[in-house]
Amino acid sequence: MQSDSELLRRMELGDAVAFGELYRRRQASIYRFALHMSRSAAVAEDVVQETFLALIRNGGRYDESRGSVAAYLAGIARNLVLRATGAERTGVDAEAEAALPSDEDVLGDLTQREELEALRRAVDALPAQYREVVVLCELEEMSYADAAAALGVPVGTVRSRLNRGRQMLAERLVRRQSARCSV
Amino acid sequence: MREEQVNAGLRALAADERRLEAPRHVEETVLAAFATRRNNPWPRQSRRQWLAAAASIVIVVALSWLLGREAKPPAAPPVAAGGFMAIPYATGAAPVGGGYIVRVRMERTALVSLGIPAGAAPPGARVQADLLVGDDGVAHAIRLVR
Repeated sequence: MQSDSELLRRMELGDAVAFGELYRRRQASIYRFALHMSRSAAVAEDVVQETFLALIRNGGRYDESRGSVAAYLAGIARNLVLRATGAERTGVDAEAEAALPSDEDVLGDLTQREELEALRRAVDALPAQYREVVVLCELEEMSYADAAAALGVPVGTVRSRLNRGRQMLAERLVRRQSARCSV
Repeated sequence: MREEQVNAGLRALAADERRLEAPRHVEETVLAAFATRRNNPWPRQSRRQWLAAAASIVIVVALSWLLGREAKPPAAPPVAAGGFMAIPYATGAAPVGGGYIVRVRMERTALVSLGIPAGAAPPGARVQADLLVGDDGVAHAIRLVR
């Protein structure tokens, strides 16, 4: 299987097959990232489309030494999400917190569909700066280095934000268990 | 324990979300865009055009500066076409075929050197103008922007 970088090189030479392969390989990850960050399927669709249109226009600017193609695409997608959703939301997302069901609905027996949905909402309720690292590193299994390249922050920042994000999810888990015990 | 549960939950969520992807029409759109781009590689063309435009602007500014030093009174206005006035030095050049318009700001006094009446203006006053640049990269005509 050819690497993303090789596909991008072929794409830059006008190879439509390579572009199609790169699209099919990376679109889902970008879609899910945009979906978590925007909480809107319509925005996520637009972000995927605009990300690859940007790649068509500016693929020649990709610098392999600065990260993987996946990280490059995630960086473009992140900027597009920020543009689509307004200013960067780095604090606690009050709107999402309000929309979140009570703690007893969050986490628990993850074999249950509804519990999975509750966890999804819990992730989406994280402040943006923690959510993006949780989505990239935990859900999309991106390396810390690639996530750092995509987000434009040092690797240490990715680690600390990821720790904090997981901590916040864990705190919800504890509150959820406490609520269950008291019933 | 708590950490394990969070990890297990995130793993389960990641697995569950593998089914999510962009709709098919998005792929069709970007593939069509790629095909268009391949048949018409506009960025490279655009870069050449901008280089030509930049060269043209440099020529106009340099000429206007050189000629402006002689402070000649303006001659009769050149032939106007579609709001554009022919630039005298460009009349011997190849005719404009296609071409494009570049908007610039220049000193009003520089207009005099191009044979354009500038009227009374304080020193350093600037005007906005459209330059009609031919495919040869030469500015052939100018139009003042009100």
